[in-house]
Amino acid sequence: MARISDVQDDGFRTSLEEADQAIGDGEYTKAARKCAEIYLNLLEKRPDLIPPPFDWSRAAPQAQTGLPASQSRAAGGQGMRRQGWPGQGGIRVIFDEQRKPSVTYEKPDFSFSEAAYYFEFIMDEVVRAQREPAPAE
Amino acid sequence: MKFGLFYELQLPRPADRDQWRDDDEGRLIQETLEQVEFADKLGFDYVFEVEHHFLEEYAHSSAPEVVLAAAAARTKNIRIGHGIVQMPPKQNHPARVAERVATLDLVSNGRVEFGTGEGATNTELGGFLTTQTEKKEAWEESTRECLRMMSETPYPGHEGKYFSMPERNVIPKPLQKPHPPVWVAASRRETVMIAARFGIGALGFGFETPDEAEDRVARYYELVSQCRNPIGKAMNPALVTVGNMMCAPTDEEAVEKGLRGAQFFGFSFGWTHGAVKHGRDNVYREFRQRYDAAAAEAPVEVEPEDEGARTLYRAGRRGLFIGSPDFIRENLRRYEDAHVDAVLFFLQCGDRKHEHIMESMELFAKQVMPEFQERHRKHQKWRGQQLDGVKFPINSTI
Repeated sequence: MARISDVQDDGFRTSLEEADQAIGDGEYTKAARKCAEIYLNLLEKRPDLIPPPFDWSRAAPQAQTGLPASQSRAAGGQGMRRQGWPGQGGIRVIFDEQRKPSVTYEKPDFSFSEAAYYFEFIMDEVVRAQREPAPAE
Repeated sequence: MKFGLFYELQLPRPADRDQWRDDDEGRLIQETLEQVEFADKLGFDYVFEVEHHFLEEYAHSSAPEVVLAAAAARTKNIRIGHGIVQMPPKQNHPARVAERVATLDLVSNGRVEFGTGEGATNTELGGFLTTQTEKKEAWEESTRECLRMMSETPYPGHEGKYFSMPERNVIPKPLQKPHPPVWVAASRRETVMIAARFGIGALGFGFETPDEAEDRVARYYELVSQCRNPIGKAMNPALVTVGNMMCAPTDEEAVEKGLRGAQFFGFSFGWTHGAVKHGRDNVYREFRQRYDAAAAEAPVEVEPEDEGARTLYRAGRRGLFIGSPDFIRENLRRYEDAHVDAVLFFLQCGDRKHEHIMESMELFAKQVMPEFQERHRKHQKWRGQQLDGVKFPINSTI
């Protein structure tokens, strides 16, 4: 389970504390934007965490549906995996052709649920990144 | 641990014709009601039914309140769950939701579980002109106000971002006070934690593994115990997960009866995210062609990294609950050890036969369910310890 206190990097820990505090203070837009900033910082420091391109329209229905893998007797998943920035809630993280990320804000204000949503994502992402060091070059 | 059934009301088109037969949708509804009636007699705790729109073959459950009312009339004990009601006001005005949920609670003699959510896919949201950008914030505003409508006399009115209405007394009021237990659909881990921060139950639709569930339970109960701003007037601390189920005397028989339905579930779920030709696609025909072709291919065992894609991938696999009673029992114990409050099963899906579903329910209820029900008090004790110090009222059926 990810906690802010688990984060060893001072910069990330301080930023997460600021985002958490903003949620507690009811400054949800500030918190949501802070989370996006933290994500960009994380990807800058750890480009190996940039998710591969994913396109629902290509992936569905042809791929990922378990055919023919589900013929397998193996049951269940393979444990926890990394995930990309959530594709909903008004903050988009987009990648250019070189997979360089940038953020677009699709609305000026954010709600509690959106701020908390982004906070939970980025806190988990930072802690996971810490657990899984970058592959040696 | 408690158990329930989860219904999408899947209805594959016949592979040999372009459209359904005239009686196909009616048969689906009647069979579903028979299954729910039987589940009640067998001692299942919950039945949840989705609300989806325009998702042909994947979910013909666009008016769950009607089916759930019929189910309530035919049952005595089973909890009647919306899994979920789409709360953005463009899909459902919150006053209409409050009226319908309260009425269903009266019809069912106080057995409603009020699941909430946002809706998904551009096919569905786009049909109501709801955007991905606004849906979460709209859910929050609408859910909060809907719960006020159920519990305040009169409702003082609201000037909001996504809907406004003047003072009115929204009637009837639900039998359960201040309102039925509230849930939110949570496909992603982050939404589980929003549920905790709002003091409501999480209907985990991510097909979480036991390890993932254990991690989520820990964080969920930490957050819910610290909740200072519940979205409603009573909390419902609970975390459930879903899985595709077919219980048969042997693993081989269960796979034979159940695997293809699970695969169609995943396949049709994926289809809803693609470029749909409304009224003209035949998803089942496409599925069968690919299914037959895929049988000769080598299995691929690598899960997608993206959580949405992973959910889709897992939805189409055998998973942990298609097997013999021993197979299912062993896997359920792992969720029990992770302190998951309940597991909901997709049993009706794809081209599964009604009689196989009935047999599966009966076998599971007789050979697997009792020991988990007997141990539920132990879980309740653990849960009580997690919630020690919570200051808000709790209305929960866990």
